[in-house]
Amino acid sequence: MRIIREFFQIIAGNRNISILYFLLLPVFWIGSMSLVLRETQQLYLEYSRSDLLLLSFNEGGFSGIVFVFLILCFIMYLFRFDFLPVVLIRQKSKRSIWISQIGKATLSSFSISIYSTGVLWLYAILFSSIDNNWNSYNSIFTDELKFSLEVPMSIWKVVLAFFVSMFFYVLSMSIFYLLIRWLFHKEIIGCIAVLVYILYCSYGSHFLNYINNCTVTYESFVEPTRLLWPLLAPLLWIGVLLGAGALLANRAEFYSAGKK
Amino acid sequence: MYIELKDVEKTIRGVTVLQGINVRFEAGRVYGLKGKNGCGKTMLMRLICGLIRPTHGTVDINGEILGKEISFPRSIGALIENPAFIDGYTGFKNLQILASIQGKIGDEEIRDALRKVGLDPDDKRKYRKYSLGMKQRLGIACAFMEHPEIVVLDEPINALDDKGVELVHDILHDLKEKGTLVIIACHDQEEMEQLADEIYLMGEGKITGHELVEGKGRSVSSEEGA
Ligand SMILES: Nc1ncnc2c1ncn2[C@@H]1O[C@H](COP(=O)(O)OP(=O)(O)OP(=O)(O)O)[C@@H](O)[C@H]1O
Ligand SMILES: [Mg+2]
Repeated sequence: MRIIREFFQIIAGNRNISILYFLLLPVFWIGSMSLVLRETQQLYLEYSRSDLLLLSFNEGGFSGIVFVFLILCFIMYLFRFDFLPVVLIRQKSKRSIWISQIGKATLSSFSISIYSTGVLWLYAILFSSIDNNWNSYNSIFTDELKFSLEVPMSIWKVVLAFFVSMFFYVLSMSIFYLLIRWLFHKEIIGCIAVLVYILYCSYGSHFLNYINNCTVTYESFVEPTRLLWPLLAPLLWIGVLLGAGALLANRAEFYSAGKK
Repeated sequence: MYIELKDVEKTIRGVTVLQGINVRFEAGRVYGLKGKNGCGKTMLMRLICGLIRPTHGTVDINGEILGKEISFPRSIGALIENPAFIDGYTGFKNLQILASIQGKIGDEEIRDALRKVGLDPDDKRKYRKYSLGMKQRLGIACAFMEHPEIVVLDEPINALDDKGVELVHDILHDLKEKGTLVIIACHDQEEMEQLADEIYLMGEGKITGHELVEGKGRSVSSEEGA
């Protein structure tokens, strides 16, 4: 337990963590992309750039954990000042702290998503020469849905869907982390809670799994309602988290403020 | 400027840590809190800082009730137990970040505060590499750098050398001249009598006595405590 805590502290206390994050992320995406490639090659299917974008986010538990871990370090780095007593007493109110934290979380989720989308799109261009092949009989799309499209899907739709789902994914994770921090005032509990939350979201089918944004799938693109719901649900979920946080923050107490 | 605590009680998970606290602190005076380990000095300070809320009673800061009209006192500087700063930054950078929250002071005032506690503003060492006494000096500088109306110092001198203690005397003298309300906790009776104008004795979460330390003449009043 102590080792874990120290490990997290070292990482969160490191000012270069964001650089580390931006360096590690491409490596991680390459890993998950090659997994996708190997799988499709085994099935003798053709893949397009759209497939690479869609699959590397949705597939692979191991890569998911690596990704979550990176994001977690980033989140901890982002909020490392916020609960120091010297910072707290200089704020207007507890609720205004919460609001400014949400602002920070939104901004950083946005930049993480932009960066991830950019990197992944670059890889997609390198690994494949076709934007979209969902009209081909030999595509992963046809293999999954047992029918093919008349005309190929615009890759920009896929990029946008990827970006938005990524954004909600990171944002809901950050807000969840913050909520736990406000509840327990312990970094380590926040980290463990987020890991459990993400694992719980990624496996099995239940309501969290549904509203967690991994729900952008091939079906989403053929049925507009299926695309709408994955976008709307995380918004509602984030709204619930936000409301809970605003209530919680106002009632929060810092017994151990000043303790090491 | 005043702080008034009325019938304050604080219970944490069934344990009463503060009970029946009725005190009024006035601007321009230095108040000392004294008592055994675990008697609730630090808790009382957290309460005044707005970091915890009373279970019963009110904390009135200049007419505004803490936890109702305001979350934290509008103008306060505090060092509570161990100073906590960002490990990876220098002392100056730490104070710069904190000062930027309210934007009341600039770099020059921060340098000034650091010099007053005997730290070099241009020291390139990270906070992580500070000695215990240096950390405490930084904590004190952080508490008064923005010229707040209330300064709360929890055991500010226990890691300081003689020179450091002297500096704290000077700082408290300056603060008093400026009309700052200062609350300080300290275990050393002699130091306390030199630093404070009034001393409150605490025991088991209650205020059990009150001493006036007024130059030569001193009047002592002590109530019966549990
Ligand atoms: N985080 C906490 N949660 C619950 N109870 C606490 C917590 N911190 C302190 N206490 C309890 O509150 C009481 C008062 O503690 P406090 O830290 O205010 O004492 P103190 O007078 O500052 O002691 P010291 O002289 O050692 O600094 C103690 O009984 C302690 O056990
Ligand atoms: Mg104490």
